[in-house]
Amino acid sequence: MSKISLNIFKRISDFEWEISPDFRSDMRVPVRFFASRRLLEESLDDKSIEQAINASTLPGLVGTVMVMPDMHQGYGFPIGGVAATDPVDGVISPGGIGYDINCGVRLLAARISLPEVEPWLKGLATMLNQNCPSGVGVGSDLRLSESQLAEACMLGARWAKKHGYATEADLRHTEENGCLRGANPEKLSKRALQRGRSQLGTLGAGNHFIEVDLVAEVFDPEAAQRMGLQKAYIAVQIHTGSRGFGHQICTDYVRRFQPAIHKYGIKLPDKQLVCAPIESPEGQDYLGAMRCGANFAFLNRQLITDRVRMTFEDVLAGKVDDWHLKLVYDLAHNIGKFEKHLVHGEKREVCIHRKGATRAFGPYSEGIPEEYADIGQPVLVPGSMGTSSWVLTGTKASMERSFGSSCHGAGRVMSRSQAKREVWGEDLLKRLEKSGIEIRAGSMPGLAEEAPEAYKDVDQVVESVVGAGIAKKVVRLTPLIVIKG
Amino acid sequence: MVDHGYEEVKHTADLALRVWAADFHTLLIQSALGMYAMIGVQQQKDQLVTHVLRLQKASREVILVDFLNELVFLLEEEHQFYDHFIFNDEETMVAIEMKGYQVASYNRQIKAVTFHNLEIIERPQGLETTITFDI
Repeated sequence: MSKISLNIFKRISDFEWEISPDFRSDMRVPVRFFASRRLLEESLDDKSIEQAINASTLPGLVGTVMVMPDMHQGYGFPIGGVAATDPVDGVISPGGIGYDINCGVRLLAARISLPEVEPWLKGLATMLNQNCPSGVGVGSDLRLSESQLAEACMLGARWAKKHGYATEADLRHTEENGCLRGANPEKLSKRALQRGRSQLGTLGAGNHFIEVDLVAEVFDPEAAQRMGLQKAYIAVQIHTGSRGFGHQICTDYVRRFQPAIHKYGIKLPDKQLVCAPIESPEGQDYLGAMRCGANFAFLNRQLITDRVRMTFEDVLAGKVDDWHLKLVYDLAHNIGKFEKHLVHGEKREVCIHRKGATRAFGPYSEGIPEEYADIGQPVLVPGSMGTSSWVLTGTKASMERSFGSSCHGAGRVMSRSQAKREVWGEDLLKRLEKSGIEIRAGSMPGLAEEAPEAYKDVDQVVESVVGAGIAKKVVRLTPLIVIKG
Repeated sequence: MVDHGYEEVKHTADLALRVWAADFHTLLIQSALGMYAMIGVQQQKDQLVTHVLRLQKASREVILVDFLNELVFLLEEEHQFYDHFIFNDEETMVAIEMKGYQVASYNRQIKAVTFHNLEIIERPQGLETTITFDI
């Protein structure tokens, strides 16, 4: 294999680059990168490109492996990777979905202007932090029995509707209406159920957050209006996933698949890429369990939404005209799903693995809510703490060129230890507060790890997907309150 | 180089730990201690705990991942930390008698121990590996 450098890429456009399958003998398909030259060059510093090449060795891949501009080194797949496999001849890889199954983000729109909310921001931050369980080792006050958890896994966000924590509109504005069909709780280990019972309705730690934002700039007024987003008004983002429940499901199946690759004669360059044929008993069991994890995560974000809404009412009722929060959209960025996509000009069903990448369906695609049909699905791109976040929409080109996928965030450039060496949590807190952001954080070292300088410039990431035509700008958000576990 | 130890190595998004030891059991112990150090565990020294872990025999890499994932589970669910280990090889299992403490708090959550490029390499001084943790 040649050394990985810019020379190995064929330039398709200013924002698209490709590595031919001739580059390494075990590659089955090309790898395509959506990135500016600068972001691509920066990615040469870690192992994300090598990991994308490794992902292109999976059996039964169709089309090309795609990598988004927020790519960075993960384990097995790179973060920012999208791969499609054939449902009959292809495989499913738990590592291509990740441990935090259906880690995702949702955006809520408010009819509250900045001047209205400004006097109450401190109190709102404190109460959000108090009412929404977050942080390392913090459990939920909602304790489900095993049978209740199994039901929640089958219903996803619909479980929240059944118990009064969600509206019909919330479900309509969630990817897959908040419930993947085919979840099978019988395929979960006792241990996964044990971890899941105490963690539903919790944010967790690391890069998970609740953020109250200001709509700072509007690029597509029609789409913004449709989503209920208005300049100088506020919005709320919630970023979390399936917690220990999803981690345990992935751990169980990555372990179970280690011998399975020998059984099915699959050779891989990295043990973390382990996979099994989709139609095999191992593949079917994983799909049943993984969908439980995905539904748990949809429900988890919905339950946190209920707490956020309750907090807005407690703090703002009687002080602002309308304190209600409307769900704009909820989407997954670590998931495996069957979708129909164009492959060499033919529409066919494929098993999409998205690992640190979001669905970005274009106008008139199946599966997006009626009110967004002509504008395309909202694509939520949270930035790093203290920087912009973006709302985009999927495009016709994303359906044709990226399996209806786009970027999921800023993407790290600095390791956590380097961030802690270079940034003091207390200094960062002061700096962010000086710029007008209310921060509530579980720990100062944890805050330092998430410093803005540890991430790529999210604006550059967005310019890349927009430049490539796979997403369109709608609004830019800036943070007012950040709650971190 | 001392005959056993661990050090955190660079990883963009997650955590990676290089571990070395003269033999496999010491490598397991050093991996556990290194992982706990990265997590930042505060123990309650007056609350002793014991546990016997039974792992199926498999390749060294699989035993290493199984062992650490068990410790992650015991930390998260039972709030237990272990730093004394006695290994007993049985016919199809490895039994590990463990002693430690109840945990007061910890700073970082580890989602899982991965198999990413995991290989236990034999060096003239013993064994060495690099473990990647999803956090």
